[in-house]
Order: sequence, then structure tokens, then C-alpha cells
Amino acid sequence: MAETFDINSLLSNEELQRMAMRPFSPSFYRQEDLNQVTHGANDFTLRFHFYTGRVPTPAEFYYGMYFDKKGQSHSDVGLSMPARYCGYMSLITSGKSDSSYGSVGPHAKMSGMQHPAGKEPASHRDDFTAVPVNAQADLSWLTDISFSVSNEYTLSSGELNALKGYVTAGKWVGEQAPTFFFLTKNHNAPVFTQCNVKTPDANINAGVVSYLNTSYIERRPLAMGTVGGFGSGATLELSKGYDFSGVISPISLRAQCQIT
Amino acid sequence: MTLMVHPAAFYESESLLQHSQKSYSRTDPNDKYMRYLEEKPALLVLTDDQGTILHSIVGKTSWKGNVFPPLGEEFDLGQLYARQKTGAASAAVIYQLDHQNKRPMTPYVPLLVFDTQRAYSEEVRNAGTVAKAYLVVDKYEHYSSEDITLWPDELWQGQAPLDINSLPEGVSYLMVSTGASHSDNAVFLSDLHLDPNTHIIRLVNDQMALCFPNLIGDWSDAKAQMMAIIADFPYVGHSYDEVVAKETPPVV
Repeated sequence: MAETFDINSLLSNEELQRMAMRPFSPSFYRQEDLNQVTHGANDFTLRFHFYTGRVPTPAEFYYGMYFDKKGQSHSDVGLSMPARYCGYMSLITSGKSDSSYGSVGPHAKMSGMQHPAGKEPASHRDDFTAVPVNAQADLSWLTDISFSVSNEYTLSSGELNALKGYVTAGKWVGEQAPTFFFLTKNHNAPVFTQCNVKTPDANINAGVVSYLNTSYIERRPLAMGTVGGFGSGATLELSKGYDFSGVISPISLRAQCQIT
Repeated sequence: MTLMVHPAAFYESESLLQHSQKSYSRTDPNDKYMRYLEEKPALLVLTDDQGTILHSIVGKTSWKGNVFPPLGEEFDLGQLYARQKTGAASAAVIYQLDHQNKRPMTPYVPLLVFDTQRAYSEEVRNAGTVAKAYLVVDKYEHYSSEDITLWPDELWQGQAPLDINSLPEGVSYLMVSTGASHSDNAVFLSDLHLDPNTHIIRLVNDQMALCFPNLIGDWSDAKAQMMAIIADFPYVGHSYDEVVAKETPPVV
């Protein structure tokens, strides 16, 4: 067993806040929509991976182990995380956009990464400019996004057809919509190893345990939140697409986290 | 629910293998001020209870994300069994999940690692009994991860006691625990008594791994939550017998 340590003599809370912010707040962007897919591959991306079914507990998210038993999502069987995947959309900073991608600037206003005063990055590509920091923001603001209300995203690579089939067959339990999302830096969905738990005699799938496959470090969920319609109080509210249509318009995402 | 951030975000944030703000990572002159622990020069300094420096060694710190740190009882869910069916066999058999999936039943939190390539006997500075250990990190990268003589003498040479409260700007420390080998400590030594005349090998590991399970968020009740979910889940248990017990009387 390794011992655990108090990190505060090594890093101040301010430094920890900046570390936590870095994956979720962009530094540079291309303000105009250039639709050039080749640009900005190494710059900031934020991928929203949407799932449906029972919202995992914080502990499941922490362990990377997700449980779904018969009756929680589907009335007859348990469903794996990939079976509950609704697809992804992305925010990037390169000016590119297509049906699943939006760009910071034209399609979403984001508050920029807060660097230590006087120690901001000084060099970057000529055609990129610094993303301004929201005047209200302090170091607790991990991310702050206002999506353009007119912009729609088509969720890509999900299992919406199968999910709609469960609804048609009268087998779907709960909300017929994405219920939670993960943020990652990679457009590929997190990878899971699934364990189908069977009844002893009938061999019916009574539940599924989905383990995050940690070989794919770059696909690990970095954050999790709930999804809901306008006014629902969910982490991410949708003005359109709180259903299995796969075409969504998110409203905003502001996440604050005070490290104490 | 507010956005829940996983400690893995710290690995993503800092590791040079990942993509956070890669456009200026390592290329910008101010990069060293925006990166706090990844690839930083560091010293491991061992002292006696009076602060006399007994041993000091130079290396570097980095984040490691591809391992499951041994977080111990507080987080380990132990073994997990479930009734499953593989292949064409007619009956579902009870398997041990953690063996099957080759991952421990623990959270995936990042490790901070101190690496050193050096382990020479002359690095025993004074004779004495090790009582304290400090990981001293050069966040602004003034010094070296390879040549200890480029660090201020008072931090490593051992001619005067270490004053951990007056470190140069940008240098900070983490106190870590020490003990004899196979103890539950960050620094394993083959013997806690050091003497420059007799000792050659001191560190059992050339890598020191530190984990911070509550780096962001308080996860101290996470294990209890997981145990409750498992207890409530059909045909899953912590032992073969527990799975069988859940089936008697049979669950339909």
C-alpha cells in the first residue's frame, strides 16, 4: 500500500485550480469560421460524450466501474455503457465546424484559460489569438461556455437507432433522452470492458458491469455531468434535442470548483 | 449536479503525452510557469530528526496515468465474483471479475513519480538514522534534474542542517514517509541507519510513487457507495459463496 499525502506544501490551492482548469478552458482560438479541417489539430478540444439510462453515482465515475441491472435502463436486461451511448459533439478552437463540431468564437463563447499574471503563453501560431477571460471569472471557474442558440449539433457514432428500438418495443425504462455526459479530449468514446451477469439457469442477462478500459488513457472521462431540458437544473441544459433525435442545441455549461 | 471533475484531469492537464493546450506546451518560454509538476527537477533529501542531511539525490518528477496506484483498504473493493456465461456451455459459471479484466477494483487516480538515475554511495552525506524525507521540487526549473551540484549547496550538501522553511523562489517541498523495505512508506530503504563509510545501496526502488486520492473532490465515501451498489446487484458478490447466497432463494 502506498501512503497518501497532503499536497499543499508542494502546490498552493491557486496552482491546483489552474491545473484543474487547463483541460477545460482554451488559451487560443481562431475567431472566424474558416471551415478548414486541417487546422488546429493540436489545439484545444472538448468532447461531449452523451449517454442515457441511469445516471452513475459519483463513486462509479471515480472508480470507472458502471453498473446497470435489469430494469434500470431496459426492462428485460442490463445494458453496457456502449449500448447506452448516444454519440458525441465537440468544441474546438481551430475555426472548423461541421455537423458534430462547433468552434469557440463562431458557435460558442468560452472564457479563456487563466494563466498566472505576466506568465501567459507568449508564442503561438500567428493566426490564433488569445481567448478573453470572462470579466466575472475567478480561479474557481473551470469552464464557462455559452453556446450559440441557433447552432445544432448532430450526435455522432451513437447507438440511437437501437435505443429508439427499445422504446418502440416498450422495453425502455426512464427518460427517452441523453441523461448524462462525459468530457474527454478525444473524439473516440471511452472504451469499456463489459461483464454480462447471467441468471444461473435461464442464462438471461440480468445486469452488466462496464469497466473503463484504461489502456486508452486519452479517452478517459475527465468530468461528468447530467443532461436535461431547459430549466431542468441539469449540468448541461438543452434548448433542443432532449430526446433520442440525436440533434441537439446546448445552452450553457459553467462549472466552478473551489479547491480547499 | 455540478460538473464532477475526476482526478485524472490532473494527469491530462500536465502530462506531455496528453493534449491539453499542446500548442504551447514545451515550446513557449513561459511554459515552465504554467506546468507545475510534470518534468520538474527535484531532490529527495533524507534527514535525521535534527534536520542533518544524511542523503540527497537528484531526479525529476512526472505524472503517470497508466497504472492503478495501490490505494489500500480505504479504496480497494477487493475481489469481485459474478455468474457469467462464456462460450456454448449451458450453465452460467461464477467467475472472478478482477482476474478476468486484469485491473484491480480501485479508482484510476494519477501517480506522481520521482525518478532518479543515480544511486551512488557518495550520496550518503552524513552518518545517522533517517527520520524525515522531503521531495523538493524546482517548479521554475532553475536547477538540474541530473547534476545535483547545480542546486544550492544548503539543500543537498549536508554541511548544515536543512532549513525546509527557507527554500528559494519557485521551490517547494512535500514531506514523505520513510521506512525500511516492505513497509508502507514512499521511500523504502534497505536500512534506516546510513553511514557514508559503509553504505552503498540505500533506496530499494529507484522510483518513488505518490498518490493523492482526494486531489480534487472528497472521495472518502466512494468505497462505501460502491459496496452498496455491489450488495444490491444480482449474481455479483465478493466471494463465490456470496454469489451463491444471493441466489437462495432463487431470484426470478
